[in-house]
Amino acid sequence: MSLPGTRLRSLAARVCRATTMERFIDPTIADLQAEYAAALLSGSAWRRQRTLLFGYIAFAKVLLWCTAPAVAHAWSNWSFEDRRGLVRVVWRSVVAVIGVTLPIWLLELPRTRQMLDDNGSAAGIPEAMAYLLPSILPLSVPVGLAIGAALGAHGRALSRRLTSAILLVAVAVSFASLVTIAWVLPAANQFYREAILRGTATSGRTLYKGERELTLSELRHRLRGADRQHSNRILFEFHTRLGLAGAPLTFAAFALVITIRRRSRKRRVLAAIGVAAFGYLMVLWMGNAISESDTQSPQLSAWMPQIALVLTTIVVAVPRTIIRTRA
Amino acid sequence: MARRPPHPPRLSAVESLILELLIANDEAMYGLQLVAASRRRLKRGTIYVTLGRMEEKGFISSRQEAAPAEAGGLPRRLYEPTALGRRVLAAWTAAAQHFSPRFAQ
Repeated sequence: MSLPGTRLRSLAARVCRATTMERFIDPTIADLQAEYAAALLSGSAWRRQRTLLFGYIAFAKVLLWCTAPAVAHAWSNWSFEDRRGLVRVVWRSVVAVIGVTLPIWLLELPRTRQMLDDNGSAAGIPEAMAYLLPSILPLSVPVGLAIGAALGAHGRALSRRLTSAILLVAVAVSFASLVTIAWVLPAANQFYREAILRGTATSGRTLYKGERELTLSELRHRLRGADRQHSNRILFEFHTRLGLAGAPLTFAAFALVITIRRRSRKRRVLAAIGVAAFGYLMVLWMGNAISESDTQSPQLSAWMPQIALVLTTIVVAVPRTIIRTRA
Repeated sequence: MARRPPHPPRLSAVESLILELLIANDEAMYGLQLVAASRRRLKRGTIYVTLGRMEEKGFISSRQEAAPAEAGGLPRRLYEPTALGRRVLAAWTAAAQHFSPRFAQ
């Protein structure tokens, strides 16, 4: 068995200079390995896992610090067209995310106001509405990113470098989405419930958290000792969140494929993204129903929207000539 | 044209803390040891970047552990203060005491 960090070190050696390896990467990995060896001797599995987690986070931070100047240097070497293309995609994505989020968010306003009035809550509408925002982002961000990528790439010849950069941005957004879904969203959901009941008879009591108010680790913890139906619900929630975290990448890939491969008109591309988003939600709801009926594994049900979108992207990506030849 | 005089050495709060810890400890320390001794004021994700910067400035020097680490891992890097580092910290602390007695407490 290789020591932790060995593979990461060999990967880092490919992108980092010798001095960077010697000064930053090697000491970080040496610390990780020494700490892991001590954790192994202690015999505590929890300590071992914790050591690995914190060690890898530290490694990621060091790598980020070390690669940032290289990324800046690479950026300065990009052609003007590529740089402008990436900025265009990013800006359009930001505008599109706001454009998708805002209407959905405002649609929740009457319901929230009604709930605050019905419960006689002391909390204000702006506060309660702020807590709702993280629950909209997991789907509005992938859709917005897809729209931004499609609008930014439409009608232009994309270089391989720019396409990779857009996908890299999507990976970064997926990571941010995972953080939101894993920690921010459950906390915001709980704050929302507490805000709704503030100033009422139940105010001040600790509200029992439902599945949507639990972080990923809390969900795993609750899974132990849960009955079959309950464990199905927890598993579905857990895997749906993981799937949604990957959605920015799959939506961006889908948008790029329909824009570059099909060379469709802008309106058609936007309509296709809209259909994909609607289909994603439909498959998710179907998956939820199937999972509750216990006819299919909750994991598969939760990943169904992602699988469907990936398959659709692959089918669209296959050149028409190949389809014709095979037919 | 007259040459500009070189900037006097500057010491950030984190660099000052690292130098204090290294001077307080008689032996050379490695990164994780510094993080543990700082009681969470230093972060393990950025400690080596700061240590690298301090080494470039000449405040500290480093060497690799002589013996291979336990379980055959990579040898760790040990850090110790240089004479310049000690002088800069002494001057910095004296200046801080002079200008802000509260800071020195």
